[in-house]
Amino acid sequence: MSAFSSTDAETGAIGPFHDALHARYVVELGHRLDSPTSYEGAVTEHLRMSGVYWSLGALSLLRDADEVDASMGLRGGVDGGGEENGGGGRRMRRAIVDWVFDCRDPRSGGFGGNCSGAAFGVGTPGTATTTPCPHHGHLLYTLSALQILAMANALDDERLDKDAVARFVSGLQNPDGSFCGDEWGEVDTRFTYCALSCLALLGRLPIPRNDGEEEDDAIVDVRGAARYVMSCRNFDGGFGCVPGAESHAGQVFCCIGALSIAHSLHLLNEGRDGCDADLLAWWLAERQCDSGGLNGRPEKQADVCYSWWILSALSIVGRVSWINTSRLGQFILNCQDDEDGGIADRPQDMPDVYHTFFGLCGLSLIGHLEKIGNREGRTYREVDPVFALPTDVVRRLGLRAQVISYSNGDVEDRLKMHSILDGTKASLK
Amino acid sequence: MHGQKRSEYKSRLLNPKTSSKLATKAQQWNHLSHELLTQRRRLLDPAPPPAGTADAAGNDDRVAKPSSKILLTLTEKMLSVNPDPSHLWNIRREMLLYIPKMEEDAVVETDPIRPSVTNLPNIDIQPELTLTAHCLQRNPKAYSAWHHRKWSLVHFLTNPTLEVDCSTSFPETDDARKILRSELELCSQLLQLDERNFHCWNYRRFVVALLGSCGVRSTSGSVQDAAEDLAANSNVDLFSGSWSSWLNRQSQVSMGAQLLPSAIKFSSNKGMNCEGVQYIAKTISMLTQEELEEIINNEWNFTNSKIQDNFSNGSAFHYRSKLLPLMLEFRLQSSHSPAARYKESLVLAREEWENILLNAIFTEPDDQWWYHRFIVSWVKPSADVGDEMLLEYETLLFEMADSLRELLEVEKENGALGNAVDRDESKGAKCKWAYLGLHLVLSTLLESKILAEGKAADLIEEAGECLTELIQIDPNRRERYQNFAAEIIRA
Ligand SMILES: [Zn+2]
Repeated sequence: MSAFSSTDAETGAIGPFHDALHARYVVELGHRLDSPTSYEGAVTEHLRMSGVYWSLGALSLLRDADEVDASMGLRGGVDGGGEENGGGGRRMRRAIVDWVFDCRDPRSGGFGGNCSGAAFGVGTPGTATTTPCPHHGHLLYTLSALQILAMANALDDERLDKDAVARFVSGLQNPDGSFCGDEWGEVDTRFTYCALSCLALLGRLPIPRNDGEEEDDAIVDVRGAARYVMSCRNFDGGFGCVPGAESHAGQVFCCIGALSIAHSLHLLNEGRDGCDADLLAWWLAERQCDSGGLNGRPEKQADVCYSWWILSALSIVGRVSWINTSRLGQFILNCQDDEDGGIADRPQDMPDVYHTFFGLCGLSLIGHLEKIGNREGRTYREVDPVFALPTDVVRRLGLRAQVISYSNGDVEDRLKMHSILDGTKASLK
Repeated sequence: MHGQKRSEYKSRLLNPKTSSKLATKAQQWNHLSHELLTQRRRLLDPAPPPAGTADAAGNDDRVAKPSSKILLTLTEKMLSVNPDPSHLWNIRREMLLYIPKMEEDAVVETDPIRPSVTNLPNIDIQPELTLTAHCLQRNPKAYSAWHHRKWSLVHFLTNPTLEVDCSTSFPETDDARKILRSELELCSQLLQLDERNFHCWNYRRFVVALLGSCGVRSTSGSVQDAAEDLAANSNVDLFSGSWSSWLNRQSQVSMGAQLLPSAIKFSSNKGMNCEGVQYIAKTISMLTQEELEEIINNEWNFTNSKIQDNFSNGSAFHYRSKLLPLMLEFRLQSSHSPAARYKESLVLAREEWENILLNAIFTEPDDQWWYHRFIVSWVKPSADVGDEMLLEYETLLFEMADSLRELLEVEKENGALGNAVDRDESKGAKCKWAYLGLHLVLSTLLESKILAEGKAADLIEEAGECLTELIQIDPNRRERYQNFAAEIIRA
């Protein structure tokens, strides 16, 4: 198709959006994965904590909090379907929040990606038949766990030892400011984002003081963390996973998100070789392909998940308008499964919950969900580009981060602090 | 899930034979997974469980103390099928450290997975290299498998019992270097299969850095000493006795492995204040000049051959951007006056333009464009280089502009011969990068003083024309170009 042919995207019309199918897809997915005969469930068993977070996040953009709670069994048990139970009565799924606490690894202090022995589908609400055997605590899953608890409004649950989790996180920081994912030493800027986001959610993040003085008693070195992130910047303005690694859009989100939470976005414009926030934004804008979708690196195929990684970063640096949002929105809609719900990485591919969540996030960040809501006479919740949580949750928790507001003025003037983003929508018109 | 066609996937699931096969696999996996975790608990939890917690099979935790070798075998079995789960690699590492520990001590008095740092067991590296190689063949992007390979290497290399003689000259035969050299070979093979695998490029830089740190031992005796040196220099107590500080030492070493980029920042002398750089710089300086040069030259040539294989190779261009400042340091040797230094960087920039970029621009003009932008920025002179150097710099920019204009002329002629369909994005892309390059060179010239002085009006006009064309060719990014235009006017 020629780029100049007239499409729905060009005329501003938005194609069909399968709201009900997506909601059903997400709710049923949990039950499907619980089945001991699910191949998909087995190969993704180790990252179930993140899977649950993506599911909850996706449904939260489609439904209000009470509906999410009821249909996912967030805080109370939910009917797990009785047909597999061989006539032994209806089986109840353990409440998600209870299962999250089962996955707490007492040895490390963090949360694991899953646990054995008290998994979903076993036992009755509130009780486990055997002592849960959690996987090793890891920053990736600790963040997912805290994000789940945040959406469930359960961060004040008495089972959550905030100080212990914060100690787990701060214990993983290295002298150069970087973070390991767990005690086995893998270093990656993804973990810097996880660490800072975790501490923000726990209310334990020391914000660097404006007077430039270091705080000796801070549990982590936030400035050091930001400096490490900056040491991962490359000639194209993007960021890699360690110093020296090439730029990758997923990594860019982690680095920009970390700088945003650390209130250190001004570092972006203290570069050399012409590196600044706008060079980064330009590199991100060049990720838009002929199909309208976004890729993660030059010469790679477009993929729905980059709608999140790139749009969130562009939102934070105030440059969403540097891509064609209508064509991106159409690309995401083209990746819907119009029979069974869910969103895939590319048109005609098999959907999964990861791409479903990040596809919906993309639609939210470009204002498409809002337009669809207007068309259908309803209101969709919005996603926060820094914390990857619904904005009402971010507001309820009083989380604060930094964004560069959209304008053509001096970048210094454009650095503002907001609990939620305000600049993007205005720039879209 | 990436790249699974929906119709094929669904019809596979509907096929009863396939779906029952998958169901069996799932059950096997779930069984192994449960088995592994409960065995681990039995092995590690010294306290007897409360009565009545015997599991469904009737096993009592108190009687069944499994051997850690069984757990090693279990992890191998599972990881060969799915190399992603990090907790499985964790259990494997626990067992690797635990088995020798158990053989030494009849009684485990403390937490067995946190052995004391002074008494870390050696590990047999070969099974780990074999297993991770197998896993990476299966999934070359498995973060956890790459990390385990790094962990094994570092653990092996930093082990105090390892007899390594680094006193001989560079191409030598000791174990450590032999292994590291074969790791570079493995990287080359994997990059042959996928030249954009960033995990593999990262691993390559990690190995190069370890090769570099081998040189440390030639002066300070052992890696252990080197690690202590590094620790002393970065004010970190690596041997305070806790497991996590030992691991910190590991990550120190593996971050030391990121030496190339940090060394670049150090050597280019432009406001580097990152902690840890001192010791990395020390590491570099401990190598003899020849050793370091051979390592870096080898990498420089490797990126060159990758680019010659395929001009559109962003990963290789990226690596080159990190190596270039190091190449400058080698070329300079002893001369350090700002003018001499600048003269050499100009020579390097011109070489990159003529030998690499010019060829690439006429063929695949996407990935390399960012490298062009980098070269133009990198070679921008500071005020103290003198008028002669400034003149040479501007000459290079004017030459770049001429080549790009020539390319655009050729494209225009081709366009005139073709039909209107040629004006779609894929055809326009070539012009896009040339226009962007021309715009870049012209706006850079506008900031310069000598030759450009009397030509400002012409340069502004031509840069503006580039943007007008770009808005036409690349409407998706219209706003970006409009921002560009506003910048020219403001300046
Ligand atoms: Zn994807």
